[in-house]
Amino acid sequence: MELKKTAELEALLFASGDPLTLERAAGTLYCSTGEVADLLEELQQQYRTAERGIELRKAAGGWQLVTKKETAGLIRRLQEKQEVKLSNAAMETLAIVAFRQPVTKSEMEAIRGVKVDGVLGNLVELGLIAEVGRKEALGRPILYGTTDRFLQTFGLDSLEDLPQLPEEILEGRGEGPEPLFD
Amino acid sequence: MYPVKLADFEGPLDLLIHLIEKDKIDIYDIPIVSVTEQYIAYLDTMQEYSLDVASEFLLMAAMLLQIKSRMLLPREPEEEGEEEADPRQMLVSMLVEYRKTKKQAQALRECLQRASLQTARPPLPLGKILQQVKRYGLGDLLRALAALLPKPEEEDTVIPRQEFPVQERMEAIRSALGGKRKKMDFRRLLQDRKNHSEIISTFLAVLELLRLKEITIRQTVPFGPITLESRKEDGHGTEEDR
Repeated sequence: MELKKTAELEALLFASGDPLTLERAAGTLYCSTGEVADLLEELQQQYRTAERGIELRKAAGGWQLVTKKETAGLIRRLQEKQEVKLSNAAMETLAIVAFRQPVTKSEMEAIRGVKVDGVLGNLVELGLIAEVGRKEALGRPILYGTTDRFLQTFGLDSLEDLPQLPEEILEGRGEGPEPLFD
Repeated sequence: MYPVKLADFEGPLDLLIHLIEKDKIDIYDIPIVSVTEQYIAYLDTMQEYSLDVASEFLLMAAMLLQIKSRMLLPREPEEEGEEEADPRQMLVSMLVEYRKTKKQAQALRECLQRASLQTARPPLPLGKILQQVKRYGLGDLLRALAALLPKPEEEDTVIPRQEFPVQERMEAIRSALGGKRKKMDFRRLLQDRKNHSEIISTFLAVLELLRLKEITIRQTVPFGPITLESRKEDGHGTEEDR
């Protein structure tokens, strides 16, 4: 049975699990990235019906198969383990890394006003952040940045997709003086 | 006393943000006296419940008190006309940065909640397994097995004594053919032999006698009986016949 190209692409996406880039898919299917984009569009169209429980999601620079939002409750019933819930401390630390990367541990501590050793270790262990280099400063402290897993976990295609909050929300009231430093 | 709930605060900045937002205070114009009082009241409450007050909270208390005292001191008019720095400046910028982070964390959490409605599956492990099977062959497997098995004790190889020397067998055949019967059935020769080595040495003896031209072997029909015949005796016979 000669399978359609969309079927082959579907199989690749299934096997990959992780987001598959256009280039990778094209290289595997021996076709152009343009063709892959068309095939993805076609596949997405097929998934759009109520008969399918999965769909395509763009994440971390590629495409992956994911269950549809409507099945979230169902999937939760299936999963026995509760997913790791990120504490507020972890979310704040992660936000600092995500929005200001690359950033050192002491910079995170300065912003949060507390030690971050514990949460930092957890975030690294979860694979959400990783060492990305050393800062050219006294002691050459480790610089941290977010990972592809972070993008994937948070459903972001790239760092440019990070939620941008309006300045007035971030800085406080408009009447106040300018922030004294950034 | 100010009613402060013992909520979980992520740190001194978190607590200050809470105090400021609770009273809808302008973050850029913090009434330092009242905020400091509330802040210290909260620390007291923590201690009442004998909770360990983290050093960061105490450090912030010291910073607030220092700002408060500086605010109370009369400002000396600057001769240069430069604006004197507000003692709260540092605190304000810390709070602004922290509040920014809190909001970004909240926005990130919303991203996470949206994303976690969908489930992706981990990559198939198949590829990795195949790769490993290809890379390692049967030899590797055997070597691994050999390493697991206990090593055989080193022993000198013993070659068992040859129990049935060909010479002996040759003698036996010679004497058998030397009697009245000058012929002998090959199968009968092997009939009473007890084990393989005896059969083999008998067979070798037959071949050796044949080589020495002491006997001849006859087989009249294919798969028929094989007969051994002494040539010497034949010789003798001819001589006698003569």
